[in-house]
Amino acid sequence: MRTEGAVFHQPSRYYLWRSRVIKILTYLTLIAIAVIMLIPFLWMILGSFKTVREAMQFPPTFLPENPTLDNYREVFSRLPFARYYLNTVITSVIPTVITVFTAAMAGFGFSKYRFALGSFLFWLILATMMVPYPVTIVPLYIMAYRVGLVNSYTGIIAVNLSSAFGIFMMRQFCLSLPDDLLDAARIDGSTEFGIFFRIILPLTKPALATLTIFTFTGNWNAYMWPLLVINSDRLRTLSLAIPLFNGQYASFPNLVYAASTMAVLPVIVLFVFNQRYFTEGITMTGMKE
Amino acid sequence: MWFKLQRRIAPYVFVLPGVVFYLMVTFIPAVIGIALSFTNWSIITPNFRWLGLRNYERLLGDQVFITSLKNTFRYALWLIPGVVILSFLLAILLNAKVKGMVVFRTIYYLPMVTPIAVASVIWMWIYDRRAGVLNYLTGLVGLPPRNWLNEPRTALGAIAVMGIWLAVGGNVVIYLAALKGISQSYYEAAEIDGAGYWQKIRYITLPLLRPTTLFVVITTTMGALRAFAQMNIMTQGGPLRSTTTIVFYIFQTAFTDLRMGYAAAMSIVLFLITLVLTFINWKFLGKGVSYDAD
Amino acid sequence: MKRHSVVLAVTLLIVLSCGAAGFAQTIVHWQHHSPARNEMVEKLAREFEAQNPGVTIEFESIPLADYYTKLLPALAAGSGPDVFQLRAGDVPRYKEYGVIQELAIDHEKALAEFVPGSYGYLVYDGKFYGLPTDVQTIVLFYNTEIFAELGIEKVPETWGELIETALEIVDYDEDGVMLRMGLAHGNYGPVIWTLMAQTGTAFQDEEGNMLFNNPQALEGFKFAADWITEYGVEDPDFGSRWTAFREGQLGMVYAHPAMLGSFRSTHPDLPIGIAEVPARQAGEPRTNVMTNWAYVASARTENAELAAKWIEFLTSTEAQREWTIQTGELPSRVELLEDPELLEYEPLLAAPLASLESAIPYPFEALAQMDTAVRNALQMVTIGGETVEAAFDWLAAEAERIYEEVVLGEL
Repeated sequence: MRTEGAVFHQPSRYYLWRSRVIKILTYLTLIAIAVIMLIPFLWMILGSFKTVREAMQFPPTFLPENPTLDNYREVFSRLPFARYYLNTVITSVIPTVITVFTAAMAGFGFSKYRFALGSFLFWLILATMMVPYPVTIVPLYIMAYRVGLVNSYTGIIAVNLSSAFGIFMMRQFCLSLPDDLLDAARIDGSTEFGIFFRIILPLTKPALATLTIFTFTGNWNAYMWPLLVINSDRLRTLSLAIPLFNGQYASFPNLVYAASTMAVLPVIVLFVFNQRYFTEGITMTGMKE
Repeated sequence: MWFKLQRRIAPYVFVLPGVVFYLMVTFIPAVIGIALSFTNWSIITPNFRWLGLRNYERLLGDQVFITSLKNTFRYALWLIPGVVILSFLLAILLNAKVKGMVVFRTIYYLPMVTPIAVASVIWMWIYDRRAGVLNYLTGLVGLPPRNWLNEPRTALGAIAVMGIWLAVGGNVVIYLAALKGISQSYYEAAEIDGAGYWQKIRYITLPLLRPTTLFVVITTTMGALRAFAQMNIMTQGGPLRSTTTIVFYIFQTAFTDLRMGYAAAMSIVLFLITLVLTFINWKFLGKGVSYDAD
Repeated sequence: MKRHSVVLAVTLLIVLSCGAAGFAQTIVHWQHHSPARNEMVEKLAREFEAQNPGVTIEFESIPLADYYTKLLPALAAGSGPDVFQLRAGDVPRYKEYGVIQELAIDHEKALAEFVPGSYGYLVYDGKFYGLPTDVQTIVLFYNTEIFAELGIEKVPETWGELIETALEIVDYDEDGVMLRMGLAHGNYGPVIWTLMAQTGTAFQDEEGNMLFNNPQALEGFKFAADWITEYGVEDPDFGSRWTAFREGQLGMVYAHPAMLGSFRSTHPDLPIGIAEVPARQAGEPRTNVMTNWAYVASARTENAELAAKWIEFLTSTEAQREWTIQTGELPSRVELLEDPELLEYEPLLAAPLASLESAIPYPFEALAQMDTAVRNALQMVTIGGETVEAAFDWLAAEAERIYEEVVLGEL
């Protein structure tokens, strides 16, 4: 693009001032939005330190007047929360690892190979993703029961071994990887699997990190399927346990907030931990039909 | 020879685990769901009758179904542009070597991590007429307080705003990852040619991000058409059915009214609508800019 | 000799293994959740197990909002519980579908021992298909401190007095924003049906024809709408009526007696009074609508007799007495209606227990749908600005549709 008489890199003070103003505005916007994102979350955390009366109080208070750790104590003493943690870890970590792996493989396969059925299978997956779940969940449950998977860890894990969202995403990311790299490796005698492990996986680290955190969050907070499959308290997961602090005619938001805060912490930790993989450059382009 | 063979079968080996694992839990139930839509199954009854297209005929005259379609579209119209544009803008802002990027990214991701039940309760408080933050803020600029969730005109929009809040974070992360992949050489070349900030965005960033935008639009569309949990907790589909979305109505029909066959028919209609919309999006935005990576 | 001892050994072995199998019996019991009830049932389960060695009760508590979502697929797959709860109004349908079985109990005895309003939906051909639990009526809660402050000495006993009292309680600030409500129903189904029932109307006949679309019942419906539109004693924008009552910003509210326990758990010092709902006019009965659930036994259970025994245990007099004390839910046994122990423990139970006598069963089978319908109908008037007559006509038509599509389940 050529613009006649373009002015650039003028050391004039006007431009320096302007870029500083833009920078300030940028920060202000980012901070304002961050505050909006943060307030509900903060409300939850602050509420976990309030008494039940204060949590329900009207007009509401923002900071707890008499902060207390009682809610956390009660959450642990009333229900076997540690056990729920364990259950949730088991039913989240295993499916996430498997899903990321199968999605990466499938995404790679769909993006870098032309093969019979390739297009068909991909659209089949995409289409199946669009069927709403209230109707599929009952047949799926009956199937799971017939196979004996109800009320077990396997019952939750087995239905979460892959993700259409993940396959779709990995396909996009892999499309942009240069073919020459792959061909060069083949000429050097590498097997296809070798290419996958030694070239693709390292190059798509940011995508893998993103997919890992998304999949993990989804599994960690999953509610509907565990609700149907889990029939006993010793298998209960965190998201199923949180509503138990409410009664039928009374709700105890302070306890719910405490339980939720604790349920949410591991995911945040994982996210922060994951951040370093995001900063590496990745390429994503080219929807090849 | 083995080398050639493994090259031929490699794609299948790569693709099959993911595909099989996914299809085995979605395809068969989906097919069963389609079959159910032609019956009057009520979940707990042992017998049911084949009804042919009766369920679908009935849909055409079902006022609540038509209302739920309208509501879902209105919701999607609020949500999709909001999410796509906002997450795009935020990603661009964040990308410009901002200090504390990690902190911002984490904060933006927080809504996705909060359990939806808890988030819904908190937003109900935000929208509360007497004590809600929103009315406090609008009061500061002189606007009268409103009962946001209890007025048919504002309820759906209010929930949509919450939906945007929920979805932006994850999409910011995706856009950021994509932005990182645009080679700096393009921007440098443009600068030499004298391009300004907005021109760079318009002629380099936007086109190169088209594929990402397609992904974000499609997934957000699917999410919007599936909206259910917030309506269930915050307004139970009211007031006066103004927040009854399709999936809410499907859920109610299936699990409260026990009319699974009818709910299945509605689900198939929703499926077809989603399919058509995805196809349209793909055609519109699918022509990406491809380049050889250096 | 040798063969004889072999036969003996085998026989003993068979008998012992049968005995062992007979001994290890499990009942899976599902219930919808509340912390107080959870404790209650756990305790009762241990007692039952102690009284019946070899029996295990596996008890699972499910949040109410998701109760049916979880129950239905389990029933469809056959993986469901042996004993579970159903809304009373669902029992007829589930019986027709063959999901539940008749209880192995003494039916004659049960007919005499339980409050008739609580088993209306549970008995067919003289056989019980479930025993009542979670009984709730509608009573009037009021704030005794507000009454004292305003010098109100008489708890209202008629509709007229009710509105008068409410008008005294209502308070505004300088900008005309309501600071304190006088009265609230919250568009809650059982309350609205109570007001309609108090006009003496019939609701539905046996063929499912709706009988309530008449001027009588309309009066009750209009009365409910008038609280908001005409008298201005209830403000729909006020927010949760429960929070308002807890914070002393609501003078009177129609509610289930169980709210007593709820109020006590968060605001123990709240000055509460409970009375039976006012009648329409002096001298008329204090009719109110009862809602309850039932314990039922699955048709697929292998331990039908044990299931029935467990259900009877859960609804026994001692259990119900303790249940009421711990959870505030009303008993369903006639003999507990004037139980001195209950009244001594909680004097405020006097009015709720009395209300059981004038309670009628919820007039429709499809409770969830009819509650939504009446709420929508009322909101058509209070938010949508429709006339009471138009909304009421809509309600009647909707009730018929619900009956056809949901209760009959045929297209």
